[in-house]
Amino acid sequence: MNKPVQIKRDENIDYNIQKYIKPEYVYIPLENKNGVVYKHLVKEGDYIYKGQVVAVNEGINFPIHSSVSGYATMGNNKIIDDGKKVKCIVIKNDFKEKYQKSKLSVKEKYTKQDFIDALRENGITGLGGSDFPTFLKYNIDKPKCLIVNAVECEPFVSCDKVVIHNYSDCILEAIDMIMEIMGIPRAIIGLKENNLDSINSFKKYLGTYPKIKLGFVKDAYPNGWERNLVRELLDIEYDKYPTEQGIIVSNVSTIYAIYEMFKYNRPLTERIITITGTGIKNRRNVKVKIGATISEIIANLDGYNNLKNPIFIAGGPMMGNSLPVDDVIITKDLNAVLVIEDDFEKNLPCIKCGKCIEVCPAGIYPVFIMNNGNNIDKLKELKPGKCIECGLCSFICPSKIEVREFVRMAKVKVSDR
Amino acid sequence: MKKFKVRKGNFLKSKNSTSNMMYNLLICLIPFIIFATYKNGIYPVIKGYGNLYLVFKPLIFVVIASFSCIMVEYLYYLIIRKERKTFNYLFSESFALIPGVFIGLIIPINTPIWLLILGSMIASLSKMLMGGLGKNKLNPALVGSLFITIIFSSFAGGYLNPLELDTISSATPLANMTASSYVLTYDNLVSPYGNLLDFFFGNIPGSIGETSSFLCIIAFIYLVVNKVIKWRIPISYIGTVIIMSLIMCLSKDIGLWFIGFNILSGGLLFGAVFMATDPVTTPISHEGQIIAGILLGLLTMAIRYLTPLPEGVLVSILIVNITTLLINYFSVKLFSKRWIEVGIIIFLLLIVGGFSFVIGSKIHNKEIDDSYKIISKQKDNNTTTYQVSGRGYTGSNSIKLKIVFKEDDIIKIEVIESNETYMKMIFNNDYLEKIISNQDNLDDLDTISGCTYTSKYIKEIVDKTMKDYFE
Ligand code: SF4
Ligand code: SF4
Repeated sequence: MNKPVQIKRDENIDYNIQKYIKPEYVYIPLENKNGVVYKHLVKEGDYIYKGQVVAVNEGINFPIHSSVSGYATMGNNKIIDDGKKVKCIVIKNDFKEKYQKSKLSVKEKYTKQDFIDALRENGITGLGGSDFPTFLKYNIDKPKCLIVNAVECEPFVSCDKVVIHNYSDCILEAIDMIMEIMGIPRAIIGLKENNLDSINSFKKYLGTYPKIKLGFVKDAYPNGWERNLVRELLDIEYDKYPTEQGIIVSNVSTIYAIYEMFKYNRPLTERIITITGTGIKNRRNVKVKIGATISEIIANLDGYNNLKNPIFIAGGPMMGNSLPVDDVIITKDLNAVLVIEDDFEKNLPCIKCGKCIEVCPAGIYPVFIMNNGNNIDKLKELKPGKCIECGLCSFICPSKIEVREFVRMAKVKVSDR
Repeated sequence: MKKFKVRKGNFLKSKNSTSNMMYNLLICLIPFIIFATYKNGIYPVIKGYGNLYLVFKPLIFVVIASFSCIMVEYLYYLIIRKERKTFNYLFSESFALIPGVFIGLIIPINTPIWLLILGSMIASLSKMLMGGLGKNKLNPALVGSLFITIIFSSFAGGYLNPLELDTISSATPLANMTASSYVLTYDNLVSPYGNLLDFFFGNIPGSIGETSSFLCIIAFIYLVVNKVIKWRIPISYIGTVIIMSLIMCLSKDIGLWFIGFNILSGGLLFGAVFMATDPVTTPISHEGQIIAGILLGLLTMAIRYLTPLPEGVLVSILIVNITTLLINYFSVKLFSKRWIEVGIIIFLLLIVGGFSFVIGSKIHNKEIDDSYKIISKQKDNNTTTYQVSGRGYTGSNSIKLKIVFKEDDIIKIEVIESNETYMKMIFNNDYLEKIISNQDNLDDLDTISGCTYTSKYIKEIVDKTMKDYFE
């Protein structure tokens, strides 16, 4: 197995969470980045309550909720974090935060089925970036271990660390409750070994929870990748999903969202997002409404610094996408926005140094995939589908070639046939 | 709403760049030039043999060769591709000077300058004709130096052996080994140059870069720590040579010094660390690199011991450059069946073992004695006159002597016939007279440096004749 790569960045994290939860409009995209299409359930002019289901993924009966109350308008196209322009439901915020009455009751006791239903009804998804409905993960028999992913290995991104700093007690409580409901015998919180702030935040309260342990991984990329994390902490390999081995992996922010669900029995309508980079005047973590636009948030954070060649990235610098405008909808999976100087260097020919092979965590041969771009038969043998798009090959390449983009293209080509 | 430029790719790049790799490589080569300046320049000057030109010759060599390479690339772009390239481009994007630097370091220091320039130009031209940076299939520096050594071998050549300063040039340890018909004794291989420490630090004849194994090891560590080179190749290369030497040692009862000799001579470490790891011309996958390393070890030993060519390193690297295409092809083909590649590695290791025995059957672990012959033996009164022949530096029976004994002493030694190149030095040094006057303790008589072998063999013939007489 290839060793993860150390990426040095010193990050000054401001642990205060600024709130910006009064957007003028919210946009509910009817398609997500994985290509899942939602059917909208409301009409133009309808009054919509906060937390009301406005669209649904019919295949798995998974709802999307409104994060504000107000009147709906239809048909506005906006871009989401992968740069796709999608149709949205637009809701004009009336700032009343009105809930439908029935939604306010809080459950005292959950059975496993109650819990899984609640995860689905409240629209909890993986907040680490997968946008994968969480209830699907928890719907397994006899789970053996719960791993809480608090590694957050993308440089610059700090929202998980900030959540931990502020809510470590809530997170531990939620983990304990989940273990109890699901009958999971043990839980491990995976952290970077040098992330002292998070470690100390947890240690303060850990004494009361003997079944929850901290597990440490090296500060290297991509150790936050499920496969690496499970391997490092439990020394277990799996084929496609960790659930095959009875392991549930959840992001720490997701756990916090579950905590809020337990506490208030309310749908997931807010998240914390990192807004940073040299192009941003006021770099910090902000609590935002899902469905608000980034442009509005940044404008409220004192705006931009002047850069020569600014580039706007939804996500972290390794896996994020560069977008043409800052008018982007905040979706549940968007954990960071980065505005930085683009120090893109001219690329040179590939010198066949093999470094991309050396780092690829998926164990494939990026350079060969690149060089055989037009030979479908060879591409098939090289298994570009295994690529997790971590970007390490592009990061390490001494000739500054965007190797990952070639692998992505190959992925598409191979799956087309 | 603010607009931004869009770019595909990731947005964080590692510090390591192609030009950084090149700078690191160049930094590692500086100590070699300094060492060569001392060994080939300052040291002879101190001993009264050189002049100021010799002191700076290593530097001049490297500079001239790299300048020639840069010029060729510049002109190639200008004339063939009709592009005017800046010096900065040639230096830090096309790395035009690298082949030149290496040629300066791997060819004999006595190569005439015009030949050096020609070789460098050929090197650069070969790189450009194969498509320029990243596309060349052969290591350009090796193409250039092969051109120099093969086509013009009559001009090139000649090294300085610090132990034998009275001759301007002397053979490299491997050339010396080939000449001695593979009689692998410590006295034959190592002693003429001092001991293995001299080999290690580079006090032996050889080109500027290739002699100091010590500097090679330091450079290797530096380059691996800075992630510049494909370390699997040198490790498996040197490992293979060690395994083969060890098998030869054990099967032919040769001392373990032989392993050191094989690794420390012939520029093996320099080739392994610098030339065999050139990124462009070597396999990309890990298994491929290990296979290449094993092949290199096999080829090098085969060339050294089974062909008349003494130095095998550069040629075997060129051959493996060619097989790189094949290895890369199979890396793709066997991507999902990588155990086959592991199988190939094991198979190659078996060949390595078998091959060591083949080579073992060709070498000798002690002097072959059968060439000594008494042609005639005449007794009259109290004198006995022998006519004997024996082996010399240039072959068996190349020395014929007349030795006259009176009572218990040798009174006369005469050379009747000889094919020896350096027989003149024997006479100039009154060596025959010295043998007569030291006949009671011949072992203490030193050989003559510059014609070590001839003097040693004469002494042996005399010694054997004395044994016959006193029986
Ligand atoms: S982006 Fe894909 S191909 Fe590149 S290193 Fe990551 S997993 Fe490997
Ligand atoms: S890292 Fe870049 S230069 Fe090196 S082999 Fe891969 S693509 Fe080629």
